[in-house]
Amino acid sequence: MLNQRTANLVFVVLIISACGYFAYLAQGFTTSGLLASSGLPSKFFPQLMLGITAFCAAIVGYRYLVHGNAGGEEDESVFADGKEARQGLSMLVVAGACYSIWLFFGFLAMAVLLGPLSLLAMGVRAPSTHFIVLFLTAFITMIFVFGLDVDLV
Amino acid sequence: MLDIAALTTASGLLIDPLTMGLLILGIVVGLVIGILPGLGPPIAIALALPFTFHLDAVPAMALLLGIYSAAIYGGSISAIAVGIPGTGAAIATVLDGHNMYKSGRGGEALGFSLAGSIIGGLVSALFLMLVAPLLAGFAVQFGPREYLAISVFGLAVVVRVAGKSLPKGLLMGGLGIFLTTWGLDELNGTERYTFGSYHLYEGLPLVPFLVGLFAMSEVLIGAERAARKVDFSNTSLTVRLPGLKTLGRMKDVIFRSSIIGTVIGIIPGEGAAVGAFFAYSEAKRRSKTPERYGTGIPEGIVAPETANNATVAGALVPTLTLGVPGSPAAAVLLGALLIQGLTPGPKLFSEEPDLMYAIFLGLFAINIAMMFIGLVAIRFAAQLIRVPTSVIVPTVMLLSFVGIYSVSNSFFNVGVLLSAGILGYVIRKLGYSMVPLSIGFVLGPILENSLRQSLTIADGSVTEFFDTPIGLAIYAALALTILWEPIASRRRRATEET
Amino acid sequence: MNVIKLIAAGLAALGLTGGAAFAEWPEKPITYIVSFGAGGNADIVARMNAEALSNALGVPVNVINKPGGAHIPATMSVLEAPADGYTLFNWSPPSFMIVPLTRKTPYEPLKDFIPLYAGISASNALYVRSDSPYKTFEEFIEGAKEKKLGMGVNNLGAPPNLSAVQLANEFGLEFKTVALKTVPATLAGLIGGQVDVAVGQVASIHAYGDEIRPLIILDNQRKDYFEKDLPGIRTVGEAFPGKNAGTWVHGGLAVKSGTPQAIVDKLLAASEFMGTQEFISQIPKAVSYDWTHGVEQTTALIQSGIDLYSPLLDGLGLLHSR
Repeated sequence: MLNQRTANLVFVVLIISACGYFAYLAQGFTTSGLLASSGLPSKFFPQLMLGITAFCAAIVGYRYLVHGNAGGEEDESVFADGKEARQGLSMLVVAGACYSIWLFFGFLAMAVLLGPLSLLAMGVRAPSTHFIVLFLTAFITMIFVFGLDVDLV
Repeated sequence: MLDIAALTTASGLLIDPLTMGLLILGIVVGLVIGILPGLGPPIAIALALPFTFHLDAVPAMALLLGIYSAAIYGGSISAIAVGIPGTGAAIATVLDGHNMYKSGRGGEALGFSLAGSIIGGLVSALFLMLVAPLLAGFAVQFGPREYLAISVFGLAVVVRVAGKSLPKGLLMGGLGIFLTTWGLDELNGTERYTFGSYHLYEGLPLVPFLVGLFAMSEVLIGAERAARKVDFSNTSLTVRLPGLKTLGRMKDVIFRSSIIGTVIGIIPGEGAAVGAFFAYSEAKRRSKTPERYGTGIPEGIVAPETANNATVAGALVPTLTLGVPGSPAAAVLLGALLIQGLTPGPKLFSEEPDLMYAIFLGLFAINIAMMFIGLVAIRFAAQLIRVPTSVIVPTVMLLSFVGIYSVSNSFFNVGVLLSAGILGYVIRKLGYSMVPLSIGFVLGPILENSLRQSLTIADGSVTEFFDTPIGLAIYAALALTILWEPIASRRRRATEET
Repeated sequence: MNVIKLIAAGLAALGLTGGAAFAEWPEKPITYIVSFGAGGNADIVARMNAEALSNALGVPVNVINKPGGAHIPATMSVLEAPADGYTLFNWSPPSFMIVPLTRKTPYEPLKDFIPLYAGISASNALYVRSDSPYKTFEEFIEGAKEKKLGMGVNNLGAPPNLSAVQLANEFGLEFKTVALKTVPATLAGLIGGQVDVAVGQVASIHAYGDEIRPLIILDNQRKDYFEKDLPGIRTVGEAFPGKNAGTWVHGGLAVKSGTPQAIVDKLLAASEFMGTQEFISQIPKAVSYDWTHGVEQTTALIQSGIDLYSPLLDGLGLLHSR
């Protein structure tokens, strides 16, 4: 499932392009009035860090290209098998969906759906698990609403 | 040095049923809040602040210090048991703690972290009781040039915790520091990468970013592996405190970490996270087998845990003697003292010796009480390994969502949590370590601001820039530690060859 | 909880509850937004205010800290909430004055908010280390003309910095300005020798006593609380008539515009206690307090601050053109 070398090379290219883009954005920083004359310009530090990041990314990319690995702690391939890839990525979708549900339909709707949706993403059907997760959801909500006086909306 | 009369009065003030009760209550509350992701020591203390309006100074401080110490310790329980640092202070503990837990030695790992925390807390409290007034003079010497030296030293720590691949680690360190430049420039208000949204004026918030990085990526990886069986032996369910013999073997690590934690705590603005990382990297550097760090060894838990709890007493020094908080949590403690009608500053020690000694004695009592309360808590934590991943995943996600939201009622922060989680997931899948990314994120602002302020102070003069005895000592120590490794390895090789 | 709100809105629309909904305010916890971090002077006084309000209104008043971002995220979070009196704002000079004057903000303080009162206050003073060669303000002026001194302020653009800049302009001086984040950190930096001179608050003397020496109060007129903190120290206006030095630091409570008058009246009644001697006596020593109560009075106070800072910021080239 998805070769580490390919994935890492894509990542490195993304990082280097992002560094270029952010360094370009930094050129446009404007400081107003008298404060502008004091000390290093605001763009210096971010650009320095972007330079270092891009340089390291280039080394990592070179190593993957030439040696096939960069000596990191990765597994052989990015995902162990198709099932695990599906579960991980669906969970990602569920996390994003829960955030949107909270934003547009309120906390209660999110809290009620979060458990069943994530269990669906992981392919778990056991009713006992559903029940435990629901119970924990209620318990956590109680702690925050009544214990810590948080206004969950 | 020690004012015996004040010490006696102070113990009298502490041995009061109300004070003792509040102290224990504080530990329990702090422990729970510390375990919850996102809610660290500052928010825990701030929540209790209104209750101190109606208390005297000593019971108020007993309550708040109990919360502070226990919240820092509580963070390491979730770090070890779930791989999620409940507070920034526990990030360094994840490395070895969670690996040890996963390898079926959970009870032992939790025992090591409790023992380390207690010892760190006790040693630094003792240290401070003896020399706190002298240390005030030390803390006041720290200005931008000294912070810069410390931060540069911190970069060496990034290199040391970079993981197996140095370029990959440095890439993450650089990225972490870069991400802290987002938001309004602290020194001149310039908008940097705000993309037209005022939500980004404050930049990427630290706690949501860190919790997202660790907790949300753990959720996603957990979801992948939900079907895998977790192997553990029943022995891992029993909590074991390390024996005196085991601790004796680690006495050098414990001693050095206590000192590092105390000193980093004293320096205003450096927090428990930095102290823990410094102690971890120092233990690794001194070790004969540095390659075993990160695989789940006791020293890798004890070093950061001792140091992060040692920062508590350390952070009180500038707070009490200069009125400058040593950590965000200490800032809230400072507020509590102000409400009591006390004015932290150079005069507090001579004007209120009883209170000062009560605070340090209180820290002793807190650490001793925390040993017992902590033992109960980690018994439960050790059982967590029985909980199936499919239950942990949604629970941790909800906890992170609600925990982060509740700190400032902000959806934007939950968005940061989610984005950082995706970043963490991607980089973990591609074999990068999250640790240099997070330490870069912690050190970034201090590094940039101290560099720019130092340049302003120096006003173009190189001698003025390096006119800092403490800073030069730190640079020299840094040079030594960098040069030491090649020298030592060459020497080792020389002895092996003969 | 949105569901409940939805139902409530539905009922109100049907005319079932009518205006009675507001008459019962407050019926749930109130959020009090503070744009400073927890533990500082502003936060402490805000928490004391929150407690007094909570006692008077009979519901919890929870302080939420949203520091940073030039106070804009905190300010906007109040405007994003409905004008129902359940979200209060702790206004301060940066959020209501300096930031809107110096940069484009998505709000206009006096249009989008109703200020109810002002309590916490501050006046700035110029300090040197107690072993400094400059014994008087005049000696300091001489010294600063000979050599570019290091000037410590908390944040660039904050009132202490503006005081320092005004001082430099009025007396023709030049400083190396170092921003050290907070007023206590600035004075600690002064004691530690990071800077030669620093702008602190008049009440800062209580914390640092013998370690620092006040040179002058950075104000034109004398205020009655100066004598309590810095007895015998002159103001700039007294020492050099004709030279200007103004600081305007006040802070208090505001609600979003559009909040029903009934709620504003209830809040005003609930806050009356904060002007009593009983409340003021609990304020920490290192904090100055100057009580102004009422919407009109507080609005006028804020307008006076805008009138003071606008020409000052304009002179620095920092005034944002609207």
